Amino acid sequence: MGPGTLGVLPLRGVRSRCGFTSGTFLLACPKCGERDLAPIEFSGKGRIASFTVLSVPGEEFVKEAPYAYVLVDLDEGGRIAGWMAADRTGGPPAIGMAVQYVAGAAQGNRFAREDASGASR
Amino acid sequence: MRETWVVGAATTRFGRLPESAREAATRVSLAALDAAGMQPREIGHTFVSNCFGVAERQVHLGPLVNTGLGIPEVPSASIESACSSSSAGLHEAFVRVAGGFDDAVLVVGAERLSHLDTLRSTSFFAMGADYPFETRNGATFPGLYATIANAHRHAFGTKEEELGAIAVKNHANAARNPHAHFQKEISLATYLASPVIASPLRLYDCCPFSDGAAAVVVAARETTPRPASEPLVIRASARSGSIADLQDRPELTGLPATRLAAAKAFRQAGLSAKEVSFLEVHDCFTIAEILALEDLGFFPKGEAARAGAEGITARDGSLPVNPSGGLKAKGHPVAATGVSQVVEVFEQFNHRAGARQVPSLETALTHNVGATGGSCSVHLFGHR
Repeated sequence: MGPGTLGVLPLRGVRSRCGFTSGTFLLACPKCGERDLAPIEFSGKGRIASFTVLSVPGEEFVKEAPYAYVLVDLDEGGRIAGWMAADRTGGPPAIGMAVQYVAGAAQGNRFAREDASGASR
Repeated sequence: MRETWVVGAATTRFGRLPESAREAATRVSLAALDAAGMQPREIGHTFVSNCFGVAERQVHLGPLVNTGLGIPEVPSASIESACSSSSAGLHEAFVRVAGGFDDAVLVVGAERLSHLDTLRSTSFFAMGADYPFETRNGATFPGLYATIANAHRHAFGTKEEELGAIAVKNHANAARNPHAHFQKEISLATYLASPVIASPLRLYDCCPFSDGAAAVVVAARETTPRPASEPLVIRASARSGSIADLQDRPELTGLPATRLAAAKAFRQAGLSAKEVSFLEVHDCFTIAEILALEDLGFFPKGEAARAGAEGITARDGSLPVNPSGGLKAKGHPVAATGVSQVVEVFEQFNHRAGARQVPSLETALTHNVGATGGSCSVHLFGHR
């Protein structure tokens, strides 16, 4: 099953003149209709807007279960979806928790908790 | 616009179909025509919904259904709008009949997935989500609604017991519905003991994967003035969309498409929420019933969670919600669900709902959501 090219550059997004920022596929702004969308690169730092811990995974994530699906409010605006590995040391994710994108996952936007020193784990 | 009625309706039992979606769709269509006292040749157009036909290696179901009904020359089209497919078909039927393009239109939805295992079924259900941006990040349908549930809980303090009360109520209703997938009551203790699928949602928060088929016949009052059953007058048929991906929506605690479709429907009918006697709403997960009651305007935001626990939405409460058992317990054969909600209204209006008959039948509302609210249909029904 070929996923195509969408989503393979996960930390790229677009920002509309009205401020609407997205990491999904858009040719016009769903808020104001603007077609001149500025490409942006996300830092990957943000806070969890909401999440769930899944014990029953989808086919693509059988090897990762249990894992968390997370929606992350990025520091520079915009919200993207991603996932986090089950964290055995720092407890479960929580709304408002600071997280950081971790490069190199086989699929999806992998995030990890960002501790006080700014390092992710 | 011509006054437009639902003149016939029928459903299979939900759960496990002993035959293909195509056979069930054809059979239930004929049963709906019989309920109307009409012949297949009176149908001018057929709208068929079958989201997961590929799981049976079958698309283009319309001509097969029509041929099986003895009307091969009648045009048909497949309507796909994820879980709101057949209510989208109903809306198209309404437009054709009210607009005078056809005098009678058949709408049928059918689904069969029971030959697949849970993992494959989960994947098929997830096809209504955004594959690269949701599914490839680990989303499943329980996962997406669980993400909404967590946001709702964070904002309004929605309790586990309040979600559980909805499951208990809808199972109690389904136990009285011979068409339902789960015809058994559950206790709050059973609910609380069930495993977590996607936190905070437990097994008993989730609708089952069901097979099933349901059909309605839509006709103009002026051409079908004396149907064999008591018709439903379609007072409003409204649809709306919204930003498809959850992460791109400004708020996570409600479905904007429900709000938009409800506003359109109430305006069309010249009615308000206060005038609705009972509802069939899209409760694919218990949290979705709470979202529906808030977004449809029956409760202020953050206040619908108590409705189930306080008995307001029980069969004999002041606002019965999902007397059929809902998607949660009657079952959710994806493309059949929208029309099956209308079958419930039809049986209620014809006093054929037996032990689940609701006390007041003035006006009924059906609410059917596609995926996480990228699509939504709201219909209002009254009496002639």
